[in-house]
Amino acid sequence: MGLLSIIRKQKLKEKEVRVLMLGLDNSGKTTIVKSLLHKDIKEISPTMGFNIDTISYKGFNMNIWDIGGQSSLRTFWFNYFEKTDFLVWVIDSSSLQRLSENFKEFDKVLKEDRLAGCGLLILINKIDVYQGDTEKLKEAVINTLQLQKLENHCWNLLCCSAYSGKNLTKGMDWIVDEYERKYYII
Amino acid sequence: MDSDDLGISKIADKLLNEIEGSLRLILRESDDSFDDGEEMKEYNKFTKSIEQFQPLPQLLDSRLRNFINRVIQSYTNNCLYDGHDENQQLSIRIAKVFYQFSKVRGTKPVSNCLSSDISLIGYVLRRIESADAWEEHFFLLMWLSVLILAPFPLVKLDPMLPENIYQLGFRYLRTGGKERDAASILMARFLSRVDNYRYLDCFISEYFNSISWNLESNVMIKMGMLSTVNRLLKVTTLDQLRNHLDMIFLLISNLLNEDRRGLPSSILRLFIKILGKLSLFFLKQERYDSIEDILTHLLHLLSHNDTVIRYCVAKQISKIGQHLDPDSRNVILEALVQLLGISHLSKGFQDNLDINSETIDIQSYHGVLLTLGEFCRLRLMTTEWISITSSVVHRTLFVEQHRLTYSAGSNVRDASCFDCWSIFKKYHDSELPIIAVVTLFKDLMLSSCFDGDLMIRRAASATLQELIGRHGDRLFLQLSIPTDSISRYKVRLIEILDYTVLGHTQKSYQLPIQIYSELDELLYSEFMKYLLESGIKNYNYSLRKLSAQCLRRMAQISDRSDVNVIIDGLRTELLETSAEGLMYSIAELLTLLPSNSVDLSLYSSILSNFTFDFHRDGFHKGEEYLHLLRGLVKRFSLEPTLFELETVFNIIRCDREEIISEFVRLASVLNDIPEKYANKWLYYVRNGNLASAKALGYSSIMTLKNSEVLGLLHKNQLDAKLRSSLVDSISIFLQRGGNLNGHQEELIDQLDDYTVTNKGDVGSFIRLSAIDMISTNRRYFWDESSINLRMQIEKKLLRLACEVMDNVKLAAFSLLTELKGWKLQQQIDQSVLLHNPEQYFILLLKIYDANYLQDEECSTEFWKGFSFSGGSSQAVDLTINAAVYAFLRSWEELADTQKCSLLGIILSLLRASKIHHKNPRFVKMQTSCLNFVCNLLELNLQVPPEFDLKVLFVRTYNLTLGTSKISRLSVAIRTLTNLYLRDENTFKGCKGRLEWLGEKHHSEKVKAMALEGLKEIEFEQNK
Repeated sequence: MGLLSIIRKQKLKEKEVRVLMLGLDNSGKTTIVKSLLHKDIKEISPTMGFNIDTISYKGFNMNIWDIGGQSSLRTFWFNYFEKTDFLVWVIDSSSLQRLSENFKEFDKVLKEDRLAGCGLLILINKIDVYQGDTEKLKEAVINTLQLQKLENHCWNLLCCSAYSGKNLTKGMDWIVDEYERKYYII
Repeated sequence: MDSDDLGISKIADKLLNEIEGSLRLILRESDDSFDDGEEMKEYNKFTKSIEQFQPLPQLLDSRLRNFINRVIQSYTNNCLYDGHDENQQLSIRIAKVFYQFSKVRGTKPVSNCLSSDISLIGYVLRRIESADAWEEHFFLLMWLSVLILAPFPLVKLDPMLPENIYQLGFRYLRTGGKERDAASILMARFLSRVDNYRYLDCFISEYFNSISWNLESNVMIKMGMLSTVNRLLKVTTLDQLRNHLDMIFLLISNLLNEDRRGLPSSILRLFIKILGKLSLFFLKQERYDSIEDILTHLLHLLSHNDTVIRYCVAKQISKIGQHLDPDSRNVILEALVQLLGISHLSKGFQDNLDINSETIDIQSYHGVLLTLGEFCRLRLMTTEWISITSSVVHRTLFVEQHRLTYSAGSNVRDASCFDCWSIFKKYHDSELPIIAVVTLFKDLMLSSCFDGDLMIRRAASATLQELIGRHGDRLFLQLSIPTDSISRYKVRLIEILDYTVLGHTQKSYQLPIQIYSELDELLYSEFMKYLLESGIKNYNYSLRKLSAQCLRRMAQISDRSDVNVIIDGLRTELLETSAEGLMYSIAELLTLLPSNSVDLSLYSSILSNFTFDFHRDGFHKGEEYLHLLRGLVKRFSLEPTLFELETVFNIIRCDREEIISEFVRLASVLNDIPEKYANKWLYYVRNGNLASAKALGYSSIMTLKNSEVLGLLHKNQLDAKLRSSLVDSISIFLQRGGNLNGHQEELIDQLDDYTVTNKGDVGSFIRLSAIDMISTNRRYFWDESSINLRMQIEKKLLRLACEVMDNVKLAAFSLLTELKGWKLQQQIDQSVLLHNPEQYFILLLKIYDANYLQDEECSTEFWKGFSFSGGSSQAVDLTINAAVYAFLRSWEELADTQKCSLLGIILSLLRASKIHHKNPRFVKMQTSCLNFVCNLLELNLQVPPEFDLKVLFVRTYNLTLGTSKISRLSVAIRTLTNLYLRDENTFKGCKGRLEWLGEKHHSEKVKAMALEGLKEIEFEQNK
């Protein structure tokens, strides 16, 4: 009985969900995690390393792997994708000029074989300071990231604010619902 | 995630749609007419689709309820009621579909999807009685197990119903197959009903006593009973079972006391599960004595031989612990740790527990560590116990027990990683003693880099991910890493401990060097300590070597290690213990010292005390000696004594690649060899010693005794590999400035070696070595002043470039291209020969037409080679076809005069030869050539009218004389037949010869073949 097979067996039984937080630098990944953990979000320096946090939500243990978004770390993302259930891709609504850069990275990450079949939650962060039409913004993100063309991934897109907490629980709900839909309907 | 998981994740939706489509046909959901064969085919397709879900069966869940509903619907519509008897094949198939779902997804989730229309109970019961196939019994029993959950007394439906179900369930509990599983679910659900308490009493009292149990010899029935009780304990209340708990417990207890080890694992596993559940009932009754008894049984089973049993026990003990108060939990933990037999165990973290890898009970340790891991995973440990567990794991992460041919203990190391993983994942910084975190971090780093087992390296790295991700900040602060560097450390460490890299032992042994250079010498002293104390003396030979190499590189990159001090320590240890691996490591480290800076007298006792028994000692012992000796000779000018040379010659009797390569390297630095050992060396070569033959090129012996060495090349009784090694040695000798002038032709003749043994064309080794020798010594062989020599080489290479063996063909062609300076438009490599051989032959024939068509000597050699590719019985069809088709293409581009001269050359190869007729290679060449020509004739080769094909008839005729070789005669018969059919007047003699062969040849087989040829002629003439 190897450790790796034990981990796998227990994961389902104990409703352990592995979530990978990715996105470009300064998109607010760590702030989202801190906000969900009800920690102080006033001063957060850019994540250069990585942290794992567990959030208990609706009977699920969400192990969130927050990996630094600086460009030097991008090649490094691929080392973590084992048994990833959900990928949360965070986009900064205040720097939409980086959308195409987002697509490039997003596309690269999704090509990773070990992410096959995982759920995708795209969070457009900092919506509390966004001035424009959010529906149009969503449409632009869907088109840029070519979400409609995705196969083998269920996905959802939400506008959120790590600062005000808007839609964060909605995102968590989607993850839990999707997980249950996939594995726990029986 | 392994590749199976990945595969199914990608195609799950597609497969679910395929299953959807298959079910439509199998379940007869459309109005189309039905074809049993088609349905069977669709069923097979369905099984293939569903089996792919095995790695991740949960992916079926989104559609499972819909699928099972449709199964039930179809069965109800087509098979359930009276009058559906004609649909027997369909009913079995539907049941099989249901079974496939249960097999892949599990009986419980699938049964939860079954409908509960109680009006069907009677029909289902009747159907079970009439069904024959076990799949149908399984399906109906499962369905019945859901139907009987009706929320009112069953007697209201039918007074006899409970009795009938009880009897039915019992009958199927006695079977050995899958029906038993279904029956146990049915029975458990049936007995758990409050209106059936009478049956429950009867079931337990009749069967759960020692007398009934011992009278029953059938293990299947026992398993049926036990799985029923196991399920019953899950679904019933204490009130229902209150009167039966003791009986069940007593029986299991007695049986365990009688013969714990003799019980089959399948029974034992059920006992353990039942005991776990019983303990929870006892807990509700506050019967702590009984719980203690259960724990005693479970603790005894923790050292069972079967891993599954150990893991099952670990889970049950931790489950019990989960429901107990902290004090009682600690008592269990104390009992667990006592099983490890560790003396002087204190409450805090200890880094020096007395655990002797070689003497511990591996099973027991594994079981205990699994249980401790489960306790951690469930957060059942106090900080004090985390410290104790960490102290144990600090030692057990490196447990290895050496047996005669292998080492045990990887399961203990694996379970230790599990413990660490659980600790780091489930406990917060404040709950973990920092010393334990730091120590385990260091241990896990060592395991990730140096464990011999790939799974352990990966398990350790997975554990490190949790540790660094959750406790990294605290850990690195403790390790005095500057705050602004901590993130970098976290990232780089995980990056370096890459999943793929850890899959290769050699690469993972390089990781400490990378860590040193990229992470500011992190853990340098820990890596060095491990390598010196354990790594370089590892039981495993390859790990020992890798450790020694790693040690050298680690010592080289840092000025923190004094190599002289390390070597002194190792030398002292070697003199005291003679441990394997030390000599190799010393040799590796000596390369770091300046030349001639070593006092050689320090090594004299090591070298002179060394003995090697060729029959008894392992090759690695000799390898180490040669490695050290070479290092001392090369860098510190040691002159080996006669004793040392004697030892060397003793060692090289081992026919191992490692010994050969060490000796070759030693030979390259040995300057003077005493006459006695020079003779001994040649004696070894003559007697087939590969090491001595391979190393000869580096030795001065080649200068002194080259004629003797060259003489050995002609001794055909010597092994071909040995002769090829001698050619390699001569090549090296020439490269090193050796003089063998006047022997070129003799050496070039090695290109003609076609020795064949029962291992096949072993001469190819020699031909390849000879090609390589010419290639690396061009100035010696391709001398402009010697046109004749160049001509010889060219001819031979041309022949070899057309031969059957791809590696020889390619080497010869490449060398010829280089020597001639041809500029080719396309690159010829191994893949061209493998995938597109025709392309190669077309190119070759173009070169031939352009350069050699008019050159009779070269042409003859060329066609000798080509005949093999176009007609050898050894060549594969792909090669023969490629050669023949390429020839036919090239043929079309030739003028008639060229065709005539070319055909003349080819047919000249079939001429009888008094000199060569006994040479097997010549005989083979002629048969291949005849076959090649015959292939061309059969493909209707257009021969110019001015060419007299009678030559072919005459030569073929002659080739049938005085031979009984079937291969040759069969080709000759084909050729004669073909010639006769081309022109019966000109080739009248062909038929005559066939008639003679058909009547008078002594071989019946040849007669039959000749008659076959004559029949073909008759058939063609009558057309």
